[in-house]
Amino acid sequence: MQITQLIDALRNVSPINFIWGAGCSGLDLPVTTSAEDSDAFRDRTHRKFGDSAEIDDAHASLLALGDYQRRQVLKCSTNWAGICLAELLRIGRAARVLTTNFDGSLVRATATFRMMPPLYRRDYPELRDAAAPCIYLLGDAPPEILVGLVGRGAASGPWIVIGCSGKRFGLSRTLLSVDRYDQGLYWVGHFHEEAPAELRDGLFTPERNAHWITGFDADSFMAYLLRGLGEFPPPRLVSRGQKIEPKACLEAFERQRPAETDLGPVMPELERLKTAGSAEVQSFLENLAGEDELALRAGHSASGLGTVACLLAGHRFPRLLKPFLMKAADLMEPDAPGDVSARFSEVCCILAQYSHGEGAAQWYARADASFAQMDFGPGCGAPVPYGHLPKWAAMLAEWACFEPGEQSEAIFGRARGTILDGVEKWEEMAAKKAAGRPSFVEAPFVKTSVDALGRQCKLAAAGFIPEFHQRARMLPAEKALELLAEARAWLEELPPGEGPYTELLAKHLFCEAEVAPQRQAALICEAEEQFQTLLRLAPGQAGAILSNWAAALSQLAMARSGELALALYAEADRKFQEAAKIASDAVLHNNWSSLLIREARERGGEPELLKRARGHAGRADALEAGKGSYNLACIAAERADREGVALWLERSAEHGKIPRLSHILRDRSFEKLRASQWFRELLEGIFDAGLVRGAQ
Amino acid sequence: MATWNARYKAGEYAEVWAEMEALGAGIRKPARRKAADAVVRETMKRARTNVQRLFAELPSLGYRFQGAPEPAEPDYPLELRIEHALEYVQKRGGREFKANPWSHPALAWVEDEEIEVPARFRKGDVGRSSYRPPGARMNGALDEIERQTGSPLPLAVRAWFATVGSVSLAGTHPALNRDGAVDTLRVTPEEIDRAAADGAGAEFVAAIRHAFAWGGFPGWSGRADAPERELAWLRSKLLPL
Repeated sequence: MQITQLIDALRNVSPINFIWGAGCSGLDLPVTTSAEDSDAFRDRTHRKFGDSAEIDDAHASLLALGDYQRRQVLKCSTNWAGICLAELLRIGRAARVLTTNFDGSLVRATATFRMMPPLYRRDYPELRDAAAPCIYLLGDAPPEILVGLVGRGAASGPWIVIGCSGKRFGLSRTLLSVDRYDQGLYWVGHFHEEAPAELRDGLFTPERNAHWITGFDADSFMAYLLRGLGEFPPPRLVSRGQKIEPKACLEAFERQRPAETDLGPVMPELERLKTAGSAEVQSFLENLAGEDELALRAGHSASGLGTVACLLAGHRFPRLLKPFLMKAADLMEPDAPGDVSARFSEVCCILAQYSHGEGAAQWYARADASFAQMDFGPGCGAPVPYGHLPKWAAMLAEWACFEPGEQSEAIFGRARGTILDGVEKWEEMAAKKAAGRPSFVEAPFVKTSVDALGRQCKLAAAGFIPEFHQRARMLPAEKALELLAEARAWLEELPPGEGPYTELLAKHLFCEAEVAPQRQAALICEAEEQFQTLLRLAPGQAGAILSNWAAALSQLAMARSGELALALYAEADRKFQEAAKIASDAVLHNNWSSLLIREARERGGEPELLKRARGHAGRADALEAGKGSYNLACIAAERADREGVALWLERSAEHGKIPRLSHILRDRSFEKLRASQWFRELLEGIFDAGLVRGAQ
Repeated sequence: MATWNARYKAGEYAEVWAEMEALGAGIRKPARRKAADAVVRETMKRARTNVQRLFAELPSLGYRFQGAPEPAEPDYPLELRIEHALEYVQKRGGREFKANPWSHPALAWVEDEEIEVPARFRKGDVGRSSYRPPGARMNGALDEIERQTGSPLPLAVRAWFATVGSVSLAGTHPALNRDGAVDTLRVTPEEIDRAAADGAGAEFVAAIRHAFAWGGFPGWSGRADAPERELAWLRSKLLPL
């Protein structure tokens, strides 16, 4: 059959379904993967990602890799086949594309035409139920999926098989299983390539209406097809009437490829968006999501939506942001292992905060999986190698501390191990650097000074100390003390007398006091010395230091009861008063109100204390919208004031100041409400976390 | 007694062909056919050499072959198809197709679909309207003529298309063919004399002999204003047949 006859036949039938094989790819892979080519590809893949027993050809090589690794290995270039198919999809002449290709060149081409047809991956609807146009990404699907889709969907339109050897995925067998292709089956061989031997006589018969087309490669066939059914070159690439060389068209196409989302113009909008109407924020984020998705499909990383949604999370309603954060997670995940700033993990952590139990664990696990794929060793080019490790550790610690479960101990152990691993690596590098013998693979690290590496060790260790404290509060005294002893040992490695470390040590001593009542007096005495030192070191920050001192006392008071507790609350109250005389801000008043709520509870609901607590929470809320609202909700709960609880919880959520869901569910203030349907519905309205359905 | 072929090679060109023609359809009888075929082969070998030399020499005189007009806008899909096929042959066609990639099966479609190859791919070679090499499609066309006329084509005619191909020297040149009005050597399947006898084809051979005698421009025959210098130079390059 000649091309002109084929095009005539296709003009009057339904939009075409394509089976799009490796020969259509922008990769330099042959249609029929010859031993030589697949060997070369395999070698390249092995060099980058190590050995795998399952690897036996190029496709299997790719299959053995994760999504991120594949994106690293596959560098595809724009080709005409992809462009022409994208244009046929755009003008409605192509309906469905079934492709086993991993390289994304077709998706990239559709993105360049600013199209986002549904991509079916891992979940494949029957052809008759699929959207048109759509693309089935069958790269890592088991062969029977393709077999089933084609077998059951053979009558859904004419078929063009192109770039396929027929040797894989049982394609030949599947096509033979269809008695007749009412609207035609056209298999485009590569130039003079012969039809697969097993099909030669059986498939390409007039009875089946199946035809073998020769004399083309994928690019030229698709160019002919597009000219026959539409316009070649696609009008979007050239102005009407303009003469343009095909090579220039390819360049024009590349220029039109959507770029990575530019947050430059977005950031100035951010302040306004923190307080703008929900509809405006929603519309803004929807646009950003669209741009990000287009960028991802076009072959870039897509972190714009995630970055903005994270920045808004401290200011906006969780339910408003949650769908965008979820979308951002999906968009960011493919490139997450290559992002040393770990923004994907930030998104996951926020989503974990909006969930609880198993739901939260799933988000942490996704972040964990992306960290596990990161490779920011000395060859990565980052100013400090292994810069992702502290973030990884912090994420794991958050998981272990805020979503306690059977695995918490192991997860916290991994967090601690991650920091230790980092410190060991940085120290080793610093030693090599000091000895002047970095190996050649560590060339970029040569730029990192010994001081910078030493600083990195300290920062990482110091940054993890609060995680020890948080975790210790969850453990029985004996284990907690063991953990705090380790933290103390870490602290002692830090330079004494420096402000941040002094404050850490003071807080640590209070924490130790919490779990060691017998040594409380001595520890408090030592801690107070540290705070006093701090006041001498930074007199300009006396307000904040006293406020932190008061908060530490308040925390300690919570670990006590009776007279001991009341004495500590009184001491903390005095410290807050001292602090407020110097500087008062929303944080101080909010912490002060927390103290008073706890003291009131300790005293059996003392109204005067609750009144004072309400006053401070109100001041915090006035100073920073939403900051005191959660405490006001707690106060309302102490007074069994449901309306107040709803009002203040929603206000705190509205301004993004609501604590994580699991904290609310554990908060003693809501003890009496926790099981009620009303309260769960209230939280569901804020977090959309499946609380009402009881799914979690 | 010397064979027809030996005599032909010795210079009895017209005589041998006349004797062969005199046998009429009897030339196809087995007893004669072998000897006739040797002459036909030798004649057509010389004809092919002459045609190749004319196509090589005429451009050096500034002759412009009349090809199909290049389209105002390039046929981009076709160019893409040719480019990629040539790249494919270059990469995977093997050494034997380095010199002439067009004979690789990956480019068989050019002949099958009677493609006029754009000038930029011909690298100075003449276009399809001036020269088409022998091929299956041409053979098919000749078979069809024979089927329609009910008799075989003369041996010489059939052998021309099997050995030389389709040739037209139509074109323009300030001296040789100022306005393209001078008759040139032109042997194409479309212009075969369907009424020709089914013998050896001496008349056909005489016509091409005449054309070569005029350097491929039989239109100058008998004209006083013929560009003798150019014709003599061309003639000097050609073999007698």
